[in-house]
Parts: sequence; C-alpha cells; structure tokens
Amino acid sequence: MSEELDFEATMAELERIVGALDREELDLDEALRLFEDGVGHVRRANRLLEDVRGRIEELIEASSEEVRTVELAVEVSDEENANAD
Amino acid sequence: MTEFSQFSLFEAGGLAPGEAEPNGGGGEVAPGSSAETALPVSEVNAAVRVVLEASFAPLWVVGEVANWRRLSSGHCYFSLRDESAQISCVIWRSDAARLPTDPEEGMEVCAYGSLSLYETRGQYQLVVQKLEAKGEGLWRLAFERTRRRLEAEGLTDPALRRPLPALPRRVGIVTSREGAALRDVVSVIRRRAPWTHILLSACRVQGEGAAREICAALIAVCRHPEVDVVVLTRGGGSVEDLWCFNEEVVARAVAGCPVPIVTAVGHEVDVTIVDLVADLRAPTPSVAGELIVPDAADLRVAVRRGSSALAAALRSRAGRAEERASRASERLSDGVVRFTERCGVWLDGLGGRLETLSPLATLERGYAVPLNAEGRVLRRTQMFEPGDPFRLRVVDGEVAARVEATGGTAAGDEEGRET
Repeated sequence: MSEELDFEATMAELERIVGALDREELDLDEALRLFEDGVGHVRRANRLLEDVRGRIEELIEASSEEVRTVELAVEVSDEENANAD
Repeated sequence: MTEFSQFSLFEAGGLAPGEAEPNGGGGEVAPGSSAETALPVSEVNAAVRVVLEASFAPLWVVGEVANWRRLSSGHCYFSLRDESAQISCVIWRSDAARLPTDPEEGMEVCAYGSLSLYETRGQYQLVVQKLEAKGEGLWRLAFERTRRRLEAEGLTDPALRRPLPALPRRVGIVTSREGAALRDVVSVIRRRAPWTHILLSACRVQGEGAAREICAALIAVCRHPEVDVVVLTRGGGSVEDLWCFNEEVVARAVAGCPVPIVTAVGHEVDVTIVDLVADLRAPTPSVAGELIVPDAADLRVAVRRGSSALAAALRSRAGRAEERASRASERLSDGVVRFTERCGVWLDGLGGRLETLSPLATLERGYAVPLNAEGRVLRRTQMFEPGDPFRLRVVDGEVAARVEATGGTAAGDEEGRET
C-alpha cells in the first residue's frame, strides 16, 4: 500500500546515486555498494509501475468531520474511446 | 369634479345617459354609467387588471434599463424605455435570484413577462420573469464584475498558482456522479497511471443550490489526508448550465483549496471564473486527467534512463579507477627505476667509503691480522699463550701459525689498534 507512494522517492534516490557515482571520488567498494543500491531502486521502480492498482472510491457523509468512503464503480471507457476523446 | 367624471364616462363608454335609464330599468344597470352607480377606484383598477392580463399573452419587450433598484426584499424594480416611452417593470424575488447580475443603467435588454396592473397606484407594469441582455451581455457583465472583484483581491494572480504534484497518490474529483466528466477523468487516469487512487466527492453541477454543493464537496474532499490534487470538472453545457462555476462563492472555495486544484469546466471555449483562480485550467475533463497524472510509459522510460545512467556511472567510475591504477603503476615503475638508479649511486658512494674502511686495504699494505680458532682478532700479547696455534690473515689468505713466546711491546699495541 505504502509502496506506491515511493516511486518519486525511489527515482530521486536513483538520481542521487547516479550523481554520486558521477561526481564524487568514492573508493571502488563504496561505488559498487552504491551501484547495487541503485539496481535495487530500478527494480523497485519497475515493480511499482507494474503491480499496484489504485482504488476508486466515493466520499460519503461529506458533512461529518470524519472521512468515510465507499468503493465506487465507474464505467471506464476503453482505450479507443479514451484516445478518441 | 363629479360632473366631469360623469361626462368622461359618458364619452368613453359611448352610452347616452338618457338611453341608459330606460333600458336599465328592466334589469341591468351598467356599473359606473351614472354618478349613482359610480365604481370605487379599487374596483376599476381590479377590472382593468383583469382586462389587461387577459388581453396579452406573456411577451418579450425590448428597451433600455432605467432606474434599476434591487430592494432588500429581493424584488427588483426598473423601467424599460426607448426614445419616446417607458414601461414600469418588476421582477419578483424568485426570478430575480436567477439573474446572474443586475443590469447596468442604459443597458439594452429583452424582458419576458406578463402585463399587469399595480392596483395600488393604478400603474400598469411588466412583471418580468426573464431578463436577457443582448448576446450573453448579462452573463458577461456578471462574469466581469466577479472577475474584477477577485482580481482586486489578488486572487487571480498567476503567482499564486501552485505546481501540481508530479505523481499524485490520490486524486480528488469534484463533479456529478452521473456526468460524462467523471468517466472521462477516471478513464484517462486509469489508462495512464493505474496505481492512482481516485476519490469522488459528488455534487450537483448545475441548477439552483449547485454552487453551495460544489463548495461543500470541495471542502470535504480536501479533508482526506491523502488527496494531493483536486480536479473540479463538468462536461459541456449552456452558459446557464455552467453558471455555478462563475459564482463568487465557488471561486472563493477554489482559491482556498488547500491542495493544488485543476478546473475543467465545459468545452475548450468555455472559460469560467473558477478557471481564473485555479492552479491550472484544463480545456476538457480528459485533458485534466492527462495533466494530473504522468503516463506510465513515460515513467518506464524514465526508469530505463535511470538504469542506463546508473550503469554508465559505474562504468565511468570503473574506468576512472582503471585509469588511476594504470597511472599509479606507471608512476610506480618510474619510481622503481629512479629508486634503483638512486640506489646505484648510493651504493657506488658507499662502496668507495667501504673500501677505505676495509681491512683489506690495510692487509694490502702488508699488515696481517692474527685470529684465534673462533675467528677473534688477537690484539694483546696476553691473548697469546706460548704453544697456541692461531691463524694469520694476510691479504690473499690465511697462514697457520703458533706462538713461540710472548712479551709486552708497544709495537703490539700499535698493531692491535690498527685492526
């Protein structure tokens, strides 16, 4: 659930690692360790794009202070229709 | 006065008083046909009102607005006039509330209504139900008035526009549950970024009370802690249909939205007041979807790029390491050469010095060194015992020797010191 929130953070981290590898004079072990981290982030980013499917909900009892939602079925137009829009 | 009135009625009614009496004697006497049957004012006005209302179907009247007054009761009073005439007009509160705004003095308008009589004052008037300025003049006027007010407060300042989140986790949609706009936005988000959560905050998007509902729905959706962008949307419609999006109260709710908000109201050509205060205006609901979420395909490209950049960075890092290693090894071999050279020089010098220190030079000069069996140098006479064997080291080898006798001499000391 919390995973999909992290795509941006994951990409930012990847970017940071690439930058560090590019700019900083790291010793080779450190560079390799960073690279492995980076590979992990790439995997993670790809996984985030593949797996997660968001929920469609409707807010109910808008007047109350607490937030309550119910699942909502929305008839989603198919690809062709969406593109024709 | 009475005489005059009687005469007037006579003239107007075309009745001869003389005739009226005998004819009426049999039964009906026309009311007001004589001073005796004079009608009270209120009855005349009531009668005229009936005649007037029955004679005219509701009609459109064109003219210029004069003396517009909106009273605290909500009713509006004004006159319609042209170069030579005028009609008093009234718009009752319920109809007046539907006007987008009050017309300006002298504005040319078309008023639709029924002719009637205001009995209290005996004044005939047009009871207006609809008032339209030329083209969409009144709407335009209302739009401009609201816009100027919001502008004066700085709410339309482009500097207030917030950037949208690059990758929203939950999109709040404020629109009607049944509208095509909802389907459009959801379809686009599903297609581009299927992981995005969507939260609908439903409201009516046209008609009376819609403005209030929109405000409430907007406030409610922002209470959800994970909503990080909101789209306020509605499909196309007439100016009247879209009007709630021009209402100041809605504009203020949009301006006060705590998270970035995108508006997509009507078609591409429809610009509403809410568009002016939103962080971003989308021409259509579908485009709003596209502006709100990135395309997964683009993100995959970004990941691929990141991955390549990572590999390239490591390669270049490894390349630098290799380069450094080879530079180091070059420096090392240079160093070795220089070191051995220096060693050679040093050794040469050392060799020279060693030579001067070496006993060999002394031996060369003809001295000899006596050594006992253990190889110790025998320096003093008392180190020799008569009869003991010893070796005598000379320049080219050793000579076996034996002590004949001992005796202390200065010469022996001298020799020992030499060694």
